[in-house]
Parts: sequence; structure tokens; C-alpha cells
Amino acid sequence: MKFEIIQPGSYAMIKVTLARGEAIKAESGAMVAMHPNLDVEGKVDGGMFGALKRAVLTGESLFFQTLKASRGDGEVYIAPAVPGDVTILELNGANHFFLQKQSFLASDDAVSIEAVSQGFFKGLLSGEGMFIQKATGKGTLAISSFGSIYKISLAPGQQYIVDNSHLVAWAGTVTYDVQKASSGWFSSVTSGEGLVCKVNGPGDVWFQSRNPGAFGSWIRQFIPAKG
Amino acid sequence: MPAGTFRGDVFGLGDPGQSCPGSLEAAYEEFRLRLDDGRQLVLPTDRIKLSRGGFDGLHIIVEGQAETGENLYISLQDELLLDHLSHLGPAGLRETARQLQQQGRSTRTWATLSLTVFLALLALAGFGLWLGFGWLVERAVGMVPPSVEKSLGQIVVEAVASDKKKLTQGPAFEAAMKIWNRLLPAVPAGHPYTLQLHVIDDPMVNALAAPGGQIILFTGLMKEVASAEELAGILAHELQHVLKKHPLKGIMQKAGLAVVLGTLFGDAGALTVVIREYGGKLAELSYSRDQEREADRLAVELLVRANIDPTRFPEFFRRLQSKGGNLPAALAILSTHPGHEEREQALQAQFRLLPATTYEPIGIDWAGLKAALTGAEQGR
Ligand SMILES: [Zn+2]
Repeated sequence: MKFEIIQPGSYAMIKVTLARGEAIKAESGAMVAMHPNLDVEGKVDGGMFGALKRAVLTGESLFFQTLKASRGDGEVYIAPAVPGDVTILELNGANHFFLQKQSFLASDDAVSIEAVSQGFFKGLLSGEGMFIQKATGKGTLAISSFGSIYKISLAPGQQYIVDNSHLVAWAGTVTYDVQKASSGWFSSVTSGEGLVCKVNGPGDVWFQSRNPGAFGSWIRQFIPAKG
Repeated sequence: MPAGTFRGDVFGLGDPGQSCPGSLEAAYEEFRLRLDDGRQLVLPTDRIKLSRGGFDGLHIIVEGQAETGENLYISLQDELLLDHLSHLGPAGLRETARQLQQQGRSTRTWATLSLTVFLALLALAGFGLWLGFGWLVERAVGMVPPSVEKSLGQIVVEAVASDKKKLTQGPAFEAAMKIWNRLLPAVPAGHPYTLQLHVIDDPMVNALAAPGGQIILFTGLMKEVASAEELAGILAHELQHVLKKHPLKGIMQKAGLAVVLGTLFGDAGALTVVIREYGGKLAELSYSRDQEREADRLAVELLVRANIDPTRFPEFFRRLQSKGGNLPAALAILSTHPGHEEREQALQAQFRLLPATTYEPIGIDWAGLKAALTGAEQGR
């Protein structure tokens, strides 16, 4: 199984090459094109309860698509719904990642994606919601962002401040605290609440160059008011 | 993997922030680390620090300096490591291992507890919203100005009758108008609407109330009633739905919380969008039993004021129900106006209280009209 990013940038797409018998899961509706050797199935990942939990708690779709190379080798092209970049992470069995809702694009079928609680206050304050996704297991994982995606690597004990609406994913070893932004650091116009996340290493943190919420309000000003 | 070996994610080699998976063998004097890329490192146990970490606070963190000088940070998720260390580990780490085991248990308990409390609160909030929703709808309905309500009504009329013929003349139209004009003067003043009756040439056995004073009558219903008084009763009933704003309430209830809140905060636009989308479905809007009883009671009062015999009104539902099963089109009016048995009982009780009097007949030869309507249909 090979994951490649095609056209990295704002309109990135991934190409996954599968050997016969291999399968990946993808966000439902993300399949763009595929070899006829592949079959698409809707799959309730993690059982009905797990899927419902994920759908209700993180707003993800109920079903993943499973793309399986049933009849021979083949490749599939997958793209996210919003303009933005894609990044590939590797799960080695010893590490795991947390994803902000809507960051999951595709993964090896062996990777498990589940909704986990990040605690009441953190959920409330971070704007990420009470529940985030946790990716565990062994295999490749592709995540998508709004705008471009950038990674910083933190050494043990190293800290960094990220506007909460720009966080995309972080390694399981990274912790974060939600803090009020000091005046003048981050405009409360972009973060909405004037809250920021202080992330603590070690591990990688991915953030996106655009804020979906701010983009939404920017678009809204061009839509004429109804009735 | 030999006993006492645990998988972990190792930081502190080369690039800060970069990690490498490996296996940690926790022996008594030293911890031996075998990285998946083949490198091997040794950590003397006297320089090892144990703690909890990671996003969920449940990772076990082993920090220490290797014999070769690297400062290592190893994140492990195997609780058996602590079990192993608390029994077989170096004396200096046993107590810490036990404390971390305890800390892990309380973190997990706390997480489960807070999740349970959160879900309970969510359920409670949902229940409160469900209880309070009717109240919110009442308030929101009061906030819609009559002009907006009227244009909403027009959208509904257009959606329901768009592909059908709206009558402006002919025997069906004239009969309906004759009844309508008997009723109108008896409607108490003080409502903000211009009441309008639309007669639609369609086999559907139904009459509908739309927001803003509009009533839609299908000719299919006219062929099912046995007398002008029956139809007068039905129209009086629909008029009460209109005056009591039941259609608007029904639409709001269907449209949901977002629209109701939007209306409360002064945005009638959301309601317009919903009505544009679902206007045609108004035919399927069913009222509550309370709303039906209210419309019935006031309809009888209206009929009495108009000097029309109110006792003929329930006959229609009785007859329709007795043959309802084999008449799919008739099911429409039965299903959108639920609870006929209770309604009939309530009506009969109300009739018993009415003074004995003779009412002025509307004076339409209904059998003749029906024959003319059916004849006209067959003549086509
Ligand atoms: Zn009714």
C-alpha cells in the first residue's frame, strides 16, 4: 500500500496504490476516481455504536467508505471536500494521533479511528468540541486541512501557542492547555473567543493556514440577506 | 519479546520532536532500549524518572540519560510496565510505579465520571428543550407580523395549487362562495387577516388552512359532502385553524429549533426559506388533538352565529370514516385532523347545550350540484 500526495497545495489530492486484497477506509464521499479492480463499500466502522458515537459526538459522517482491491492491484484518488492541503502520517504501533473533527481523510483499513472525550472544560474552551478523534494502530493515515498545513516538532517540555481554530492534529504525546490570549497576540476576530491553545511537547503538531469559521463569516458578507 | 519488554515511542534522538518506535526491556540494574531502526541504548536505572503524561494523561513517561549521553523521553502505554516495576523493578522506582498505577486508576475513573455527567446533562438539556419547545413556538408565532404571514400563506397556496386549476367560476366555485359568504359576516372582527377562499379543481378530499387567512378547498371534498351545511362546518373549522394561527405553529414545529430561534431573534427570512421548501407539504401537516378540539368548538359557535345548522358538520367525518379504509384520497383529511371519535363526543356534548332553534338553510341543492360536477367531469 502506497500513499502519495498529488498536487500538494490548496487543491491537494492523494493517490493510494493498493495490492490485491488490501483495503483503505476514507471519509464518505471523498473518492474521486479509482481502478475498476477496486470495490467501494459503506462500512460502519467500529460497530454501530462506535459509528453512532463518532457521528453524534464529532459530527463526522456515520459511514466510512471502504475501498478494497478485490480483483487485483489498483489505485484510488481521494480528495477532501474543502480546499486545502493533505498530509500523511505514519502510525507505527507505538504512537497515536488526535485529530480535530473533520481532519480525517483516509487511512489503512488497519488504522482505527474512534471518538474520545477530551474532557468537559477543554472541549468547551478549545472550540474543538467535547470529542475529538483518536487514530491508533499501525499503518498510514492521511489528514486534510483548510488552507495549507504546517507541522512543528516539539522537543520534550517545549511549548508553543496555536490559535485553537487552526489546530488540525497532534501526536498523542502532546498535551495542551486552553488559555486566554494575551492582548495583542492573537486577534479575537480570528479566534472568535480570544482563546488559544498552549501545546506542550514532545511530539508533532499540525496546524492549518486558514480558519474555517472566519472564512465562513467572510463569505457571509457577500450573500444578500433573504426576504 | 522477552518478559519485561514494552513497546514505546522514543524522543531525544537527533531532531527534537522526532520520535522512533522501539522496545524497552526493564531489567533490575538498567533499562535496555532496542529501537526499530536497529540502534540500541542503555539507561542506568539510577538516572530514571517515571511520570504520567500524554494527551489523555495515561501515558507512562520514562525519562533518563543513556550511557552514551542522550537525554531520552520514552512514552509507553502498556500498564503492565508499572505492574512489572512495582514488583520486580529497582527499589527506587517501585514506590513511584505504585503511585502512578493509583494515579492512572483515578484519571480513568474521573474521565468515565465526567463523560457520564456530560451525557446526563446533554440528555437533561434535550429533555428541557423538548418541554420548552412548544412554549418557544407560541412566542415565535406571536413575533411574525401579519404581512409576513400573509406572504407566507401566498407561497403555500402557490405551492399546493401550482399545477392545478384554481376555479373562479362555475357551479362548484359558486356553491363554495355562497357558503363562504354566509360564514364571513359571523367571523368576529379584530383579526389582522384578509380571509380568502381558494377553490381548486382536484380530486383530493381535503380542505387546508394556510397562514395569513388563506383557506384552500379541493373540489374532491365537495363531491364527498352530502349537504351545504356539512361543507360550511368544515370551512368554519378551517377558518378557526387560520384565526388561531395553527398552520404557522405547525410549520414552525416541523421546521425545528433553528427557525423558531431565528424568528424570535427577528429573522423571518429563515421561516420563508422553510416554507418555500416545504409549502407543498402543508397538505400533510397534522394538527394536535387540542388544536382540533379548539377549532371544532369555535367552529360550532361561528356556525350558530351565521345561523347555519351546526349538527350536520360531524356527519361528514362519520360517513367518511365508515368507508375510509377503501378511499385513499379521503384518508388525507382524516389523517390531518386526528381523533374523530373524541371530537364527535365533544361536539355532541356541545350540541346538547345549544338552545333549540331552527336554522336558516343555506339553500343549495347539493345532490344536483354533485350530479352536475360528476357530469361535467364525464363530459370532458
Ligand atoms: Zn382541523
